[in-house]
Amino acid sequence: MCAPPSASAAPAARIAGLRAELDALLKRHRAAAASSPPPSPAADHASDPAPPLPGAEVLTPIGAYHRVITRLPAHSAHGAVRLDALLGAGVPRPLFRGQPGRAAGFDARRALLLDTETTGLAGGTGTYAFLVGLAFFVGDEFQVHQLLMRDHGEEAALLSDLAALLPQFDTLVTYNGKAFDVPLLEARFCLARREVDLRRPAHLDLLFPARRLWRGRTENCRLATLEREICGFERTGDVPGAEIPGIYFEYLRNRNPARLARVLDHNRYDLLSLAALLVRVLGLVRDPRRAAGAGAEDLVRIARLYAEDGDLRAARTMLEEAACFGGGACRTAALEQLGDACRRLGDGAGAAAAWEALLAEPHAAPPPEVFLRLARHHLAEPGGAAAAVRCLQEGVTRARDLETRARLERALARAERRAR
Amino acid sequence: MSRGAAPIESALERVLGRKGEEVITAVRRVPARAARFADWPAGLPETLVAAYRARGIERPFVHQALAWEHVAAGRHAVTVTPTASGKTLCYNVPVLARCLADPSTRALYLFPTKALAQDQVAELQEVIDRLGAPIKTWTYDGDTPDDARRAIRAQGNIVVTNPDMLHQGILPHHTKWAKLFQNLRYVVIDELHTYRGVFGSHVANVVRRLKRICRFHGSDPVFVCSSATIANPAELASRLVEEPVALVDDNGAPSGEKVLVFLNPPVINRELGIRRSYLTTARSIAAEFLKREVPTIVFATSRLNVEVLSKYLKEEFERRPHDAGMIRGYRGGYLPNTRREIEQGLRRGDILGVVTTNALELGIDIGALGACVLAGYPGTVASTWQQAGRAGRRAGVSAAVFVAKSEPLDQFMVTHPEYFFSKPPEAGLVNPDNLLIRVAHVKCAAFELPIRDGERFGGDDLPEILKYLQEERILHPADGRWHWNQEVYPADTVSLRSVANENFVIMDQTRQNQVLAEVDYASAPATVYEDAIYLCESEIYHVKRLDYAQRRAYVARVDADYYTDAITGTAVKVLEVDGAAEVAGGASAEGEGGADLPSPRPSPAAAGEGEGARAEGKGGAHIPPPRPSPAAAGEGEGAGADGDVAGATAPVAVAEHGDVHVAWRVSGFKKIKFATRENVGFGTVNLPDQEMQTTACWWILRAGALAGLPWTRAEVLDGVVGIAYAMQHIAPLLLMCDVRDLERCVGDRGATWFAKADRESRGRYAFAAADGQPAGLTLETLPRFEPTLFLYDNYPGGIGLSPELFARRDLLLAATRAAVAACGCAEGCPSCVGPVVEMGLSAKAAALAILERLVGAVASPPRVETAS
Repeated sequence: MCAPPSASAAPAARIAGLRAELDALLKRHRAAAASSPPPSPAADHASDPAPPLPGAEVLTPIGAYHRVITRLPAHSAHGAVRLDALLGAGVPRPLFRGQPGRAAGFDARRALLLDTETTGLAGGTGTYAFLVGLAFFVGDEFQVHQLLMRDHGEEAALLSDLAALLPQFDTLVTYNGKAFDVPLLEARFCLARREVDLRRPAHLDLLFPARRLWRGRTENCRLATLEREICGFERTGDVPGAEIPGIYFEYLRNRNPARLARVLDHNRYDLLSLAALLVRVLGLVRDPRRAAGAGAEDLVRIARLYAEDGDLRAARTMLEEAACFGGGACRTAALEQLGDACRRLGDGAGAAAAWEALLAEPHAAPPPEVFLRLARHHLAEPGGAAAAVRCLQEGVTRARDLETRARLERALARAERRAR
Repeated sequence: MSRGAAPIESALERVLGRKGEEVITAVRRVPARAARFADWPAGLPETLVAAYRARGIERPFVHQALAWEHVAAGRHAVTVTPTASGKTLCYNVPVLARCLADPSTRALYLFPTKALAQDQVAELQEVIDRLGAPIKTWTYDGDTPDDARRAIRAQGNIVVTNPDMLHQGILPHHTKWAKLFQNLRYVVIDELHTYRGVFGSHVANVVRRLKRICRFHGSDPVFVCSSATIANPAELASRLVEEPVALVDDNGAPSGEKVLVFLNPPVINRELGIRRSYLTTARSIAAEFLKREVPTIVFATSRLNVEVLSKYLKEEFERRPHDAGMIRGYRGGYLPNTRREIEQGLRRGDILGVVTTNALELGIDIGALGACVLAGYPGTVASTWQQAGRAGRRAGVSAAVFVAKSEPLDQFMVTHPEYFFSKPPEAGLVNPDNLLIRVAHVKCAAFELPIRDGERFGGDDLPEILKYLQEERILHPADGRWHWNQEVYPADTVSLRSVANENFVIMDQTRQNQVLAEVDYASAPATVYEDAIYLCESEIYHVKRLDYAQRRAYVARVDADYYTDAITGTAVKVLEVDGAAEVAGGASAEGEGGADLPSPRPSPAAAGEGEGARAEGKGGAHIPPPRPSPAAAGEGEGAGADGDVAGATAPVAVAEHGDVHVAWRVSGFKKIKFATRENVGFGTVNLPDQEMQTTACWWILRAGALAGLPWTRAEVLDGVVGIAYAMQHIAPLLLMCDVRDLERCVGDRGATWFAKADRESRGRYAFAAADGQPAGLTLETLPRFEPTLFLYDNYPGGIGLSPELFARRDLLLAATRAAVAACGCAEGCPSCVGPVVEMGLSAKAAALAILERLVGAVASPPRVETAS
């Protein structure tokens, strides 16, 4: 502190002395992260000549990077889904929530599917997108372009080509890109001192509708799960996402492309599944009644998307249908939402009908609002006080906690005064 | 004072008139000081002046105007004035003026705690509201909701945060904060004096990173700092900012009269050197003020004491139901809402008395209090003035009473008040180039922005550090830059305030496992072991279970009449010797100024230039060049220390310093009764060892120091343990650090045995390792008996104390000898070698005999300037 520690005298020895301590600190975090497996010596000093990376080097005025282009006929299928189903398809408004006016202009030929592979999930300026996967239609082809930096020095060239490509598209399609890929690329562009507005194109992040549609119905809402469950595609020999940063770090050290090639495969699969999932989501949300395999539960979930977007009429139509065909929990959910949609549309009678139907369901556990609103509806009608009292009495007997019961009892007391 | 001076004067009269009890060693009246004003600087916007006038500030104080001059000229500045002297205006005025002139202006305010930051925004917002200008101020900390964060990044003119958040939340995401960094004109660092030691060394590195990021975004902000009174504010500021910083210390703020009283609890057992408990005394002093409804703050030196004292005072003052809440405890570890509520209660006057740690020492607005009781010396002169300053604001009399503990440093201060009053406050010391700290921040810096070849980040050895990090696969060189090459987010693994950043959470089983409080990682083993008594808000909890892996302690409320105190054991192993010197013994102790107490620290500039010279031994003793390993050299000497070789030629001792490995363990605990503080039982603790590598200074006692002493080895060792106790407590006087920044250990240089307290609380000697130690060997049959006394930096990697201690080793020995010799007790007491019940009957005599041999009986006693 005052006297200089002998750091400057023998830094190498000092550093050697601290090695044990730093190791101890790091060990904890390695254990916590558990995602960078200790590299095997064999992998480090691989003697067999590995097959070279697919693709080719791209030279730009500011340096080189590596690119792998895969061309597929536009009509090819991914799992059970034909990719060219996208061409000519429109995007229903609810999918562009928060970006009004975007839906009208959607053109699949001007959509860019994007998925990055990164050196970590933590975010922050020290996380690199070492592989930027892009997919788009060109003529009668669906092309996958994978931009890879083989070392950190190639990032600038990669980003400059990416920046040049972006203005050709007006919609970005990603899976969790709003929270992850786009902020990450924004940071990369900023660090490379490039002004690129990634918020200019419309952004269709499929994670949001996927959660609305399938949460609780599939094991989880990861892309790999949905491609299997929803798109009927089965991956083989995939690298787990958690291993990817470690594989890249290993490649930086030993230049062995074998495992990195599998990361390229993983990323390409992700892009194709993203395309296939987009086909499914568009089909379902645009017209759930005609989508293959769609049921009442899909209707209820899609109705919610429309309702959140403010299109209550579309929601009401779907919910009426779902209430009609669905059974059990699906029917009660539909009725509850239907009542709400009708109320917000000013259709008091419709709402009351939905709520009455809901209360008639044997296993329904309606929230207290249903009783209160229904009672209010009755009270507004001439001579409806008795019905309101009956409704609230029902609510009191079905209340499942003391607070709710007290609230309903207060309303009941008021209704009873009115009835007298 | 709103409640008038009369009750304070009458309470003081009672305190000073307590007959035959405490010894009052000093009463100083610091006279009231009138305000000195300056004119508003010419360049200030009219609206700003008007806004301040509307708040009742007609004209600025002289220091405020001077600060403006520096900052307006683009010079970094640090303002040093006491509590409540209008420091905030020094930085708010330039920042607001600039914001008014250029709405794109951004400023970053750093406060050491969240509470201070929130306090500050509230005040700043009031001024801005009066200005009616669209200047946006926000706090950005862990509590800021996600949706607010985006707005703050894009629009916040003044972002108020803390160094931890800057380190973990802002710098690693600097691209999201591009607007802030591109337009950053001012960085305000308030409470600068808190950034010293480990925390300060970390913060200096965070500032390095901040400046790096500013350069990237093209800004070059002016640093505007403010500090409580310390010896070297400008030096500390320039070490943090690594550029020259102008000093503003001409305080123009008025203050009321202040009475300072030093008080020593009476000796109640002369043989044992036992004084009446300072806690009991502090409690009755506080009661004098509280009885008269004088708002009073009591500072205790530990969290435990906060709980004990507030419990006592609650019992006394909250007898009637409607009195509940009149007395509150306040310390780190309380949940934020509880703390906010207490601060408000103090401001509004709902709370009459608060017992706190130094958590309330900083500028949190708690209103004007009338009296302050310091239960124990806060550790530094600077803290003492700062804490005393919490009583009394601008007008009226206020009182501060320091009640001494029986520990050596307290006793020294209370019996030598002239020393205290003549001594300038300590210097704030930092070591930004502590290797462990610096390496941590090199990692964070590389994460934020790849490090270019040839870039500087602290000392010259950056290339070696980068290479090391490459070998460790943490960084990857490419294209002349060093890139972050890991998945983890390095800032998450670096805590600015402690060794590890994982806190232990304390959960209350009696309240459905609600989170009760938190304990930091380092102190958890000694506070929340199973069966420990944990005190929080004066409630007593029993630790039922400690889940070490999950960092959780489960407690239940109990009624207990005791608390627990951990018994710890330490083993130290030498890794590398950086310097060694023989202790010359009696003959050389007459050396120039050998036994003098440290004179006030030399001026910062001189200290900087003189570093080489100081390291070579300022005490005047000759230091031979380091030998590879004196201990190893000693192995062949046969006979051992107890032989009759203690002639004039036998070496007395060897002092060394260097790197050590420390293993520390909580082996058990004592149960101590609340009222009587008597020992009522023991328990065992099974927890993993805590380990660290740090720097130490140590003394190997040779035959010349021990031979022929009329005691058994065990008794001699008691003496050595006693010396270690005294040395650890005296060292802060020389180093100007806190007692807790150092730790001590007595054992063998070869790490075969260590002295540690056991169940009987009497020195027993644990053999550290099976290797090399024949079974059945006891202390008395050891072939070679050369006890070694270690003092080490209580922080991994060291914070620079040990080399300084080595440089001043002669002074330390002389001061220790003087303190032990001057103590009036018979056989050892907490004020010299430690309490006799723990140290053994002969400890003091043995300690003194050994110290005589180390220093020489002829050394003059410490010279203390008598009052002038």
